[in-house]
Amino acid sequence: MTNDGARLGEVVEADTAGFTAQCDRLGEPPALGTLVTARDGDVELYAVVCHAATAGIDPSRTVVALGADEENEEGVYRSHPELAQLLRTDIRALVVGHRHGGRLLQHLPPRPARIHGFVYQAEPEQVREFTETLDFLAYLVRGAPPANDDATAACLRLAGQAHPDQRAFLVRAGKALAGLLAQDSQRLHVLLQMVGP
Amino acid sequence: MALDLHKTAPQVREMTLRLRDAHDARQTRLNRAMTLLGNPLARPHGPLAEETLRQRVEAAGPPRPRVTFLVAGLPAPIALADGLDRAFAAPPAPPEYMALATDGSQITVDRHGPAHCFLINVGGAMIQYGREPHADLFSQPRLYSTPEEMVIPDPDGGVRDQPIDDVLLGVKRTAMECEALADRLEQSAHESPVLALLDGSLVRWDLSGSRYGDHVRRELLQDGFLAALGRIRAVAQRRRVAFASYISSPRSTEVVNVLRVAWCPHEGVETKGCDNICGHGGPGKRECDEVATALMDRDLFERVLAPGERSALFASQSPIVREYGPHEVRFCYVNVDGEIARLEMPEWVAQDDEAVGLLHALTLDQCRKGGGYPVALREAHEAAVVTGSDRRLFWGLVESSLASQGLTPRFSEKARSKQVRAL
Repeated sequence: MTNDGARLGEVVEADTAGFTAQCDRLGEPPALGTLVTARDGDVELYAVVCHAATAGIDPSRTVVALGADEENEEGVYRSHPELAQLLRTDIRALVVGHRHGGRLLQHLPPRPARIHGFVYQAEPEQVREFTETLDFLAYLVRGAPPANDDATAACLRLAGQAHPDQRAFLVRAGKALAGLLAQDSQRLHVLLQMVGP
Repeated sequence: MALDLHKTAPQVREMTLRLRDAHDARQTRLNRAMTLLGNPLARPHGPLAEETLRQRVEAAGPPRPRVTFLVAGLPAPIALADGLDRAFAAPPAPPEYMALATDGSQITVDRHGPAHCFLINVGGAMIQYGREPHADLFSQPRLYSTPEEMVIPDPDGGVRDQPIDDVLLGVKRTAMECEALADRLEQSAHESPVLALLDGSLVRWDLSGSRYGDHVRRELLQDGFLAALGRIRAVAQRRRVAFASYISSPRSTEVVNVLRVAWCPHEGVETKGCDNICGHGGPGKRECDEVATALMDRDLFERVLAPGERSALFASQSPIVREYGPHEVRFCYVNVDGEIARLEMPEWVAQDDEAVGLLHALTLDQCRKGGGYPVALREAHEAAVVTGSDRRLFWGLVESSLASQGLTPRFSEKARSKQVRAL
């Protein structure tokens, strides 16, 4: 399967563990926990959105409030059309697996995502197929809590929607998490609560 | 070695005391100047005939200035008896308009650097307001490095090739900014009114005098800057275009100098000339200093103009403007609610009341949106600016590119010493 989901943005920074992508649409990043894909040659990388931020393109320019005289928030953008050129929304995604030669592998690819490569939202079928195996959760759980736990929980909730038996999927995911966090019952408890019933 | 603040502090204190003493004297001069601005013909030491003041102002202009100072011209609509302090409110700004501005930046020739070249980066902003708001921010860098590009060639093939020095590089850059503005105006298919702004002055005073040959003025001024103004004018003949250059915190004194010649008690100064009367006086010893020393036009107009108002339109009498043909420069001051800014425009804008009104209204709207400075100009500047880090990256790129071709960059010992900073 190839990148045929909705295009989200472009890789602007990449390392072994993940990549940062600039979103095509200002202020409209994919939801936390979304499974996305990017490429490095014939390798398709799978990654989970674990952070998003909107800020000025030029870090030396401070973003200031502009809406004191505006009736609504849209008015700010109408009066300052240049904002769309001066602000950007970035996402940070943790790489959790890849596809190579038709095989889906839940370990890190040989190389990071290609810089300036495009990032796509994984199609529901891709999500279902990728989350059939839950070894990738180790990469998310290993990340620094608590922000990553929110991304992990969100990822599982979204992935659940792609499975025909959502409840069975979530139960299976809960067991996988219990295995990974056997030494930290408090964190596991909070995480399971976030994943939901 | 760092600046020795212990040695500096007493000097700062001395300066402050001197400034405090000067402040009172300046206030007296300012009050005198404000009264004279209200009626430049009514002087305490005797009234001046309107005709005489006009002759004096004219005598300050080209072709043979007989007045030491650059004095604002007083085009016909200005009635001297009404004073020079008339203020005009802006008409309402149309909600649908386009703001277009360009600005430039350069990397000058570094004679200690690895290659003989310079770079001009022109940046711009085109912002559409109204029903379909959008913005386009752009920049276009251009590198000059061939021997022909490093000079203004002598058209007769003689020895008068003029190397492009820092002054000419600035003029060339301004011409390119104006050309980029004309390009964008010509390309824009939108029908809404346009505010087209350049940064800085339209008066290329640095080309006046005999420092540069006629061929330099022809290439940079006639065929460059003025030709681009002509293209903007052509667009303005089929579309509503309010064109001007914008000067923030202007330091000019041309209106103050009108007060100088009005105050001058010496009869016949318009024919005899300043030098023949007060030539040996020097600053502070001439009578006209009583209304002018340490005063700028903006000092007067910040007391005259309420927020949003503009002054009357004056004319530049800078000698170089004689060569401008239909683009002779007019200017006014605007209180943009925060500071007094100066707008300079060609005569063909100044003569079109509707264009002046549009210029006034849209400049205010841009300053309101930009927190005191036109948004389009601010973004044009941001698109054009070449920072210190950009410069370092640029010279690094030049070096590595030379090295990749097997060419060894040559640095002067001075450049090397700055890089190494050895102890």
